[in-house]
Amino acid sequence: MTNGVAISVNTAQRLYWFGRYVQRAETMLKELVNSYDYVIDRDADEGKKLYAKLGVKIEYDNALDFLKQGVYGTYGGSVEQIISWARENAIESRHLLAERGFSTLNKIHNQLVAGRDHPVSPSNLEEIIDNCSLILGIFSTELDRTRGYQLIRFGQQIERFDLILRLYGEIEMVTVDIDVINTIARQLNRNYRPINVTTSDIPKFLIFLNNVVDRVILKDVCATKLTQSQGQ
Amino acid sequence: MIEPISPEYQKFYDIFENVDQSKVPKFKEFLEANAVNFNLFKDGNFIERSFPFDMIPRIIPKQEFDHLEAGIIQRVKALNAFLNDIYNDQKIVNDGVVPREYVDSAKAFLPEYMGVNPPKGIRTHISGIDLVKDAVSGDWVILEDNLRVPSGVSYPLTIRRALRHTYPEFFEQMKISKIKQYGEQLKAAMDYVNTGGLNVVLTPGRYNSAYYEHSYLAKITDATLANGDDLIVENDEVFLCSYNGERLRVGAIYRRLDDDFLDPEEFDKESLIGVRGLARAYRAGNVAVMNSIGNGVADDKGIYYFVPQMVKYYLNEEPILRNAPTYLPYYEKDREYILANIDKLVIKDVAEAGGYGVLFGNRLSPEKRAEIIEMILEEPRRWIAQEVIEFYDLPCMMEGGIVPRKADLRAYVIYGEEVSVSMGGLTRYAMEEGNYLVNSSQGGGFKDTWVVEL
Repeated sequence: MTNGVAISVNTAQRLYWFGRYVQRAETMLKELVNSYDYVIDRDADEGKKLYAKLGVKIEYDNALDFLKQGVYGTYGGSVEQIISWARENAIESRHLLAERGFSTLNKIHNQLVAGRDHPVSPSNLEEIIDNCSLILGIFSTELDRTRGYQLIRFGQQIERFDLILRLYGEIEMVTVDIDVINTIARQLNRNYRPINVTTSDIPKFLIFLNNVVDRVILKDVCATKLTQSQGQ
Repeated sequence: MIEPISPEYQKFYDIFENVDQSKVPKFKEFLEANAVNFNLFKDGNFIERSFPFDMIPRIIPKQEFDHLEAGIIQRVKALNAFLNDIYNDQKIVNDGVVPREYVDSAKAFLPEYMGVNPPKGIRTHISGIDLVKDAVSGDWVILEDNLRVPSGVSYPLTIRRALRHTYPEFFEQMKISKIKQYGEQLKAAMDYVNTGGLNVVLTPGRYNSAYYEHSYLAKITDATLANGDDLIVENDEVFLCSYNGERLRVGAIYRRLDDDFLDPEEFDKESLIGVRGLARAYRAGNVAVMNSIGNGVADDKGIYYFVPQMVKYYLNEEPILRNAPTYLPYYEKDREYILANIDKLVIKDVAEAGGYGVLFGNRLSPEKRAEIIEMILEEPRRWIAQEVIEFYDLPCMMEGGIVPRKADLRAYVIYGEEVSVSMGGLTRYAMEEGNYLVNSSQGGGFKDTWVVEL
């Protein structure tokens, strides 16, 4: 193995979570913009229904306030919070990230922090959605450290499936696409055991899905080997 | 006093007058967008802060830099020889050049490492030598040698690229030495001492002031960035725990944490950021630790006094660069001078770094001065005194104009198969007028340093 291709457990976890949070931010922003129209046109409670699917209770006065709550709300998991988590993970793995992708994310973060006291408009959010897509696009084209990119992609896919299940309850969509995860995971770890969807119980499957990372990033194996050898 | 304008500086200003100066704020935006940070801890709080940058570079004529380069290489070679000697036969002590008390009482001297020799005999792999330009004599003067974990090199490397992108005019019309080879040189130095395995940059983590730099250096050297808990030691060998469960042997570690935190088995038992057993692996010769363990004895402020003598002793050469005039209270003659002239001197606590523990005699109240004198008499080894060097200010763009600010230069030296000095360096400037403390940890800013040939 040559230098530079080795990825530590900590860095791998950062890349994985970076992929998850950018995907989560992009999806939630799209959902916010869609629901903004529904709040105006269909039902003022559409925004509450969206967040209820995620187990979050939010209150708002009107459509613009709904956006503000979605981006800056004090519950865990506002868009600002998700971007901040993505940035934290990017900071700790930036040695493997394309600079332009990192700076795009950091600019989104700075823009959100600077905009805390201002109204949020759908066009602001559409710009951030474009930038999130840009970030993930940059990594797919510029990152020359393949496994680093695969870890991001792996996180992205897990998050995608997680959100499909939580927001739409579409286990069939996940069943059809599950091999996307298996393919990436096998590239990342040759000892990976593929997964299948064997249940229609979504909460149960979500727990299973969120633990698949432990089959790829083996955070305890190295330390365990050490303990065993010291005990001999 | 601002340094007189050299023809090289004049050329810069001639070009600067004709470039689009409205682009200057772009550098601040660039540093913020890229989170090029030198973080601070204030009152126990972590403050994420981009490193203030001033667009006007320090310009050093090539001929002048050649002289500096020769002097710095000479100095680092002598310091490396000193470390090899002090951890082996201690000839320099036995021959009475450096008093034994100064070595034995140096806080960073580790007698338990006597006889432990690093791969290829190199201990000062990466040094940061701090200099100022004396406004009275016009000479460069060495203020400090940093042989443990000198930081800062990533900032001029990062900004140089932005400067080239924003103002190519300077780089097209001036002959400015390139610095981008630093990454290759550092990698070559890691490879040179590597005992077989990966090159690793060991970071204390995200909340270290210079975390940006750790990440940057790993990137430009293709090394693996690791936290302490990513590494394990087994049978006196160091391994990286790869995410897929493999253990990969590590041959060289560029550690960015002090000895105290490096290995809880050997040093501070409470350290959560080190690698248990690393010191054992180092002793066994199974891993190169860059910089070596125990280097602090050579950049001790008291030992600094003896570096010119080291040059003569080990290299049989006259020192090319001089120290700031320094007095050791340990010597009776010096002590008397210090006590009589304390109001004109800078008093430094040898145990402190980063601009802390520096006292200007003329700013002390009579009570504080009396207190310091008492401390000097009680613990002469703990203090040094230096003449105040009136070093040049550099022009800085702030407060809506160009103002003078005190500035130093940190030159970076890589000791691999060859010893090389980066053809630039980090120029640090103080934020306030008349402030002599330019350290980044004191809130100072930075400039790029251009070595220019006409």
